Amino acid sequence: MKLSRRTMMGGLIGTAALANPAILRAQTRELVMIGYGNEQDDPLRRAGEELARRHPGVTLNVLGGLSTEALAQIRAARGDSPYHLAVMGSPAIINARDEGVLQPLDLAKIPNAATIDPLFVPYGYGIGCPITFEGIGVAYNAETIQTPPTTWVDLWKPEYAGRIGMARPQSNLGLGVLAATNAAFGRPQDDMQFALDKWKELDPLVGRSPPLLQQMLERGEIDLAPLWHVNTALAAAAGLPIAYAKIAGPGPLMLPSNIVQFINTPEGTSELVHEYADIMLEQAIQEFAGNAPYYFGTVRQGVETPEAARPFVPSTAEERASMTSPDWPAIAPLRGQTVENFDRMFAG
Amino acid sequence: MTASCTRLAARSPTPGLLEAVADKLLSGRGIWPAVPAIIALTVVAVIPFIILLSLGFSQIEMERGTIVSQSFTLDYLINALSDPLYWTTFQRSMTLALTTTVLCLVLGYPVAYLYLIGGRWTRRAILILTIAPLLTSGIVRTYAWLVILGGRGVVNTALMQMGLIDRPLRIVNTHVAVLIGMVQIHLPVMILPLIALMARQDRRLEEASYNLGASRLGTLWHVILPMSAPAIGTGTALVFTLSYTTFVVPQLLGGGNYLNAATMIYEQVVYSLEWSKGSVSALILMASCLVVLTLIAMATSRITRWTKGRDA
Repeated sequence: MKLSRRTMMGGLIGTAALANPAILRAQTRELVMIGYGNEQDDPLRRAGEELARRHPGVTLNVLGGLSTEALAQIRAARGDSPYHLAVMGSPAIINARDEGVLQPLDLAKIPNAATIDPLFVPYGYGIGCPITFEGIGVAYNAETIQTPPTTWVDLWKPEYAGRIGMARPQSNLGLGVLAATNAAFGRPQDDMQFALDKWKELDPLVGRSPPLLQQMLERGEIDLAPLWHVNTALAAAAGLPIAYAKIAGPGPLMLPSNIVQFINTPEGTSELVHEYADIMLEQAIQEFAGNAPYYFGTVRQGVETPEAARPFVPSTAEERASMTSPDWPAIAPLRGQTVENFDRMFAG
Repeated sequence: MTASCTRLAARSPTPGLLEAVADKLLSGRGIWPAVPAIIALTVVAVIPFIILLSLGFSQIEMERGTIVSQSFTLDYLINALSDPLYWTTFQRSMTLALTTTVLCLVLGYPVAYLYLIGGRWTRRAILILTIAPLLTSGIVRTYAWLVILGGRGVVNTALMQMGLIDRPLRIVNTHVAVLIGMVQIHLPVMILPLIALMARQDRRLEEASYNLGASRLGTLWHVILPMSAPAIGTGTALVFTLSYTTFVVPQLLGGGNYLNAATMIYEQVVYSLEWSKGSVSALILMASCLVVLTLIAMATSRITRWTKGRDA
């Protein structure tokens, strides 16, 4: 092959253009994401692989950690976020919104957002894009509890006295359960003192976090406790005699998880985050996330709840119709004060 | 040759400066040898700590993750000092730390004494058994206690199989579980300074004591114990500091009902994002820790002086 001057010049110009630092960065971009920090990150990673396939050079690094810890880190870094995106529950979105560290996602730029069940859309609060949800119900030891509770008020039945656990209100689970307690007894959801007083009556054993509460149930220290459906499903799948009751009045309760993007990210990141959220909403990824061993509730309309997940995820038409979420904008800002009041009453 | 040397000297005054600095650092005089460490500590520890503490005396307004206004206030400190929750929490932390320290001393000193009087293999075994736990993470060791003390753990299973109890005792998620975990985690920190000092002791003093008719107990009480006062002081200070500021053990073994100073600060900073409260709590933690450390240092110094004076 004869190399002409024109070919040589074209090649040189092309090489120089591709070697331009901005283009190089765009080609080898790493998106850093806050995930769950365990195998629950698999669906997030699978969507990341699809993003990388579409954009050679782009990679997704999913890091474990709490979104609240990420907010503290971003504050410590004076707004210079070390992360680009996160999977974040509704309460954390409200806290992050108040801190001003999130860049709203535009659902119009996410074609698959049109397939989201309208029930979940409001819980992105105009900032995040819902991708999955987790239910709040009661996990119980199937060997020691013969008649599980069916409503929140049932937890105050004498037969459960001294056998109940609860999560600290610093967790979304703990805060959500307090709101549900208020609703169950006809009080405003933000009347946290009433809810704490009611729980004090039960003299519960307290788990510092939902996974630690799950372990207390596994070790037989408690017989029942409000818990995420995913935690319960994982314990049951491991062969433990733990079952799940989808609690009503109010409920079944759920907490949508959303894709959010942080502020001060490099140019071009936002387009990738929107595309990533779109991939997460694709039928195949939703089915993958909803199945064992992940058991996420799916938000895309038309995705069937797998058989293995049905004991845990609201799946019948009746359950889906009565599914609701706590009033997070009202209760999320009360978290700090509620934790302090909780410690005044329960710490010993 | 002379010309090139002159040119070199005129061209590079820096090597002279570097040599002078190196000479100062290696001289062993004044604070110079510590200067690199002081600079490193100032940059990575003191400055961030001062910034953190300043937050405790500031009314802060944030916007897009950045502090946009900061004004001086004593409100957070006054509120903390007048809040019974803080008093109870710090009192609980102090009691736990002091109890842990005393138990570590009571359990650790006999081990160190055995090291002193033991043969070569005994000494090696003690050293290995003391250092081996430090090779694993504190979190792993704490989780091991969950396995041992849990409802279906080794202790409860054994007691039930022996017919001593009908249903599992609640050990985990209690003050007792935290104390057990703390003592086990921090015991090596007490033993190692004691061993280090005992290994350097002049065994002839012991022999002199026996030759003068003292019993083993008398020798321990009048000779060995006073001589190990500096190591007791060091071990006590280390164990107290670690126990008072510990986070992992109460977090895992205490359960959600258990609150100590470190867990309270973590929750204030991370979950509630109330940094001013968190930094005030950190200030109280540091100040109260320094008070106890000063008392330990004074007591150690006094005992050591008294011992030397008595010997003289």
